[in-house]
Amino acid sequence: MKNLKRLVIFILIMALSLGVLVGCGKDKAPATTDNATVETDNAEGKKEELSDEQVLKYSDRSEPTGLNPMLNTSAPDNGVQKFILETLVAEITDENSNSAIVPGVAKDWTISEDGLTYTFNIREDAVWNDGVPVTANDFLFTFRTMAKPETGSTNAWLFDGVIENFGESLYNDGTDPEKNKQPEDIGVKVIDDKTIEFTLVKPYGYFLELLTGAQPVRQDKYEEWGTAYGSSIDKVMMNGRFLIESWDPNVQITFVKNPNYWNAENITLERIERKIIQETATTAQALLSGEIDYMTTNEPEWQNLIMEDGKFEMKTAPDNAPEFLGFNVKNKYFKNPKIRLAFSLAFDREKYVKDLREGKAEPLYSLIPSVTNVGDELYSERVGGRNEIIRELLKKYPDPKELLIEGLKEEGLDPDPSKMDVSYFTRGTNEYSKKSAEWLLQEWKEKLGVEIKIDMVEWNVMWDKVDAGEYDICTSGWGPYYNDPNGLLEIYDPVDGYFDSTKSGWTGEDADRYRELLQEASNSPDNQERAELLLEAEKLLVGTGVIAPTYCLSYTYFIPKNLKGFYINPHAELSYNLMYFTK
Amino acid sequence: MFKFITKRIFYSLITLFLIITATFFLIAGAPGDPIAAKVGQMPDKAQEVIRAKYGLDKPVVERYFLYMKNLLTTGDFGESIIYTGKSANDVIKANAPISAKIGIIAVILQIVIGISLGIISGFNREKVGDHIIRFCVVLAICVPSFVVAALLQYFVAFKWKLVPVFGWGQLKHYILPVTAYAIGGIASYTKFMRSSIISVANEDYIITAKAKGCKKKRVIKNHILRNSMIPIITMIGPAVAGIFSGSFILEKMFSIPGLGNYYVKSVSNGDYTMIIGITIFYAILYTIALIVVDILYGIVDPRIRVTES
Repeated sequence: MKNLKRLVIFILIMALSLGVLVGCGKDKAPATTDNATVETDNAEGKKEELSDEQVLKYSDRSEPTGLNPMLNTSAPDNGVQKFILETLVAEITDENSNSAIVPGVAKDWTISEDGLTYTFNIREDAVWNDGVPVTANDFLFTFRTMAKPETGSTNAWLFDGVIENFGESLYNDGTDPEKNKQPEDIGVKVIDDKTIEFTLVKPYGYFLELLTGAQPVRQDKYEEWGTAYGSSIDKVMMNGRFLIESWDPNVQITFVKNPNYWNAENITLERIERKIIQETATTAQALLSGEIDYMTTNEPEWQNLIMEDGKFEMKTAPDNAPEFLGFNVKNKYFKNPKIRLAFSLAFDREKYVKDLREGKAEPLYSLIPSVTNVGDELYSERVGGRNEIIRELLKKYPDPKELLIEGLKEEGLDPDPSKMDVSYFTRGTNEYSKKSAEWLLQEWKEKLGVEIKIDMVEWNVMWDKVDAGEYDICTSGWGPYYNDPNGLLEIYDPVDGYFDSTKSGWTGEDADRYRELLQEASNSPDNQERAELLLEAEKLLVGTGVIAPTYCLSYTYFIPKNLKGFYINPHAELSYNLMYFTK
Repeated sequence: MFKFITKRIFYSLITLFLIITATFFLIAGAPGDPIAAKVGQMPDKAQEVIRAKYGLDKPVVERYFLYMKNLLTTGDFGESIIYTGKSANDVIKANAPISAKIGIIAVILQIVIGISLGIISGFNREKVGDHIIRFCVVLAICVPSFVVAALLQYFVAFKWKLVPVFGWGQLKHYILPVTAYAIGGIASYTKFMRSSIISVANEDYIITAKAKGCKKKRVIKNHILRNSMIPIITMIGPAVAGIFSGSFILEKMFSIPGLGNYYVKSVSNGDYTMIIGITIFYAILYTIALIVVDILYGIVDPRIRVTES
């Protein structure tokens, strides 16, 4: 009896604690902004009435890992830092959905004739959120900190071989006094408080691109807070267009317009709320319930539901990360370019995109996606569309099977394609990996008469196999770190690319020439000449079938009809500077 | 009782030690590492610089002793490699209570409603009420919680707009996840309570009690209910431990910033310190829950107390 009472009391206590816990829920008053109604000119010159509420609400799948630009450089980190930190030059999406480099903290800059010296003039009115002016020293400190191996900066390697002595300091292992340098030796120099100068190793045409990723930290606070820099909002210095007002981890980050930002008057958005939603279904329902303003999804069922609602417009934008198949050039078949090329030409890229990606992708006839720039112009425009390499080859070799048999004969192998023993590694074991592998099997069987063997493996297993050079065909993709064909082509550099010759098996004349072309391009300060050299290199890589580009995904955005100025370019941020809500 | 508890705590400490050691070496031996997850495809020599910063270039055994020394002297699980500047302790402190709030409410609902329905069903065997309850129980056990959650989210939040689709911070955000979390458990408790009552009701000692002329109310309260509680208590232990681990899928669907989310992410990121920290945290909770269950057993069933001492 007594014991039963205890049990009852136990349950009662637990039930009571429910009441207490319920009381714990935080109550947040909805944020309001009082804006005077302003009128603005839209593109057509008509007067449009601005909404009273310029609040952009969107969602992301992941929480940033931190706000220290030295250490936290994943996509969600960049997504938050771009609002609160301004770099010397910024990369934005313009009204034509092109990416453009525009002045940031630097009001202007000069590039020496040989393309080796960049001098930036920092604007007088650039300030940190505590009112301290942004100076050349902030950037000097930032770059020196990056170049220190102890910092463990995750972006630093991008400047190795670009800024003078940068890599020599970053990879200083104390063994070679000739080569080892200190952070103080790197080619970054403060001329005066508002002028900073960079000395490059080569006239890299994409140096400004690289600078858009170098967010500043402030020396006094960085030294004061140590590793805690960027771990919370009271431990980060901000100089960007927006300031973080509150950060509720894994729930929401709220940004407000920075009143002291030098260009504040030209930004219409007053607040930005970045929420965390991981599931597409939840995101779509949140969008339709008005809890967020826009989203991107390629799932047809949600797309239909959103469009039925009638409040949204659909905008499609291609991504900048190509997908491709890689052939192991050491393989007894694939050492022959004709055999490689036959595999590359045999599958129908339009059909691939239609069957496997619901048409939400661009078929790739060259490695470089259409949105890639060389300098301030699109690569494809600079080379006059001559980069559609696969299309050209299809005209030249209308029957890939013939090409394959020719190649087999050249290698002294059995000319019967059905006797070929080729295996294909998937990158993962999900539905898409399975379907695409079977699709390729079917296509190659039909067009070439080859029956490949499919190895369904997890992505990390595939990469291990690629690292060891133990594969026939692998499937890969690559997101470039900067907007330039070099960002993609350099991965196949046979000496120091990610797919170097130990992985790709690519050696010999073509491979040497490929490296030479990339080197030549990087030594040229002229963007037009560089584009031509890069095209030559791409022709070697794709034209001899070392890789078979497949497709580049597109993203479909759903944007409310009263949100204007929304432009998308995968290399730059969304056009936040241009966005505004109408009534 | 005191001796019994000390013994249990001692064994738990050994268990914890083994769990930490096993987790450490398993994670260290798993393919992929936090640096690869953190930086993606950067050149090898650049990765080496970062590995050196986090001490990952040292041999595994050396790292193990360093870790254990640090853990035992400071109680610090160490700084996360992915979430820089945050220690695993910070993350647990900030996020475990959120998972716990949902979990505790759901478990209480499960126990209270589940046991009540089980009692109603058990004492009204083969009557209409029993049939209805059993039908619902089968349905609720068969449908996984994330399906329930998706349906609730679609109808209650999206279509009928009674509560928000997602989010955290206010009372209304609790309703859907708690319901989705509780439903399966309610069904299991109902099922177990019902069969437990039925089997106890057929025991010889119940017939004896009835034969002795014991009042029906007294038979039910003191003999049947009390004895049918024993198997239920076994279920409560793991359920209480599960409170903190939360339901990862529900947290994901409703964007709840709980610990489950961090746990899964750290595993896919290979964030050693976080994985080990959260594992130890769960292990401690689990062992505590098991000790509590053992004590509860003793309270409900004197026979267990007697054999133990």
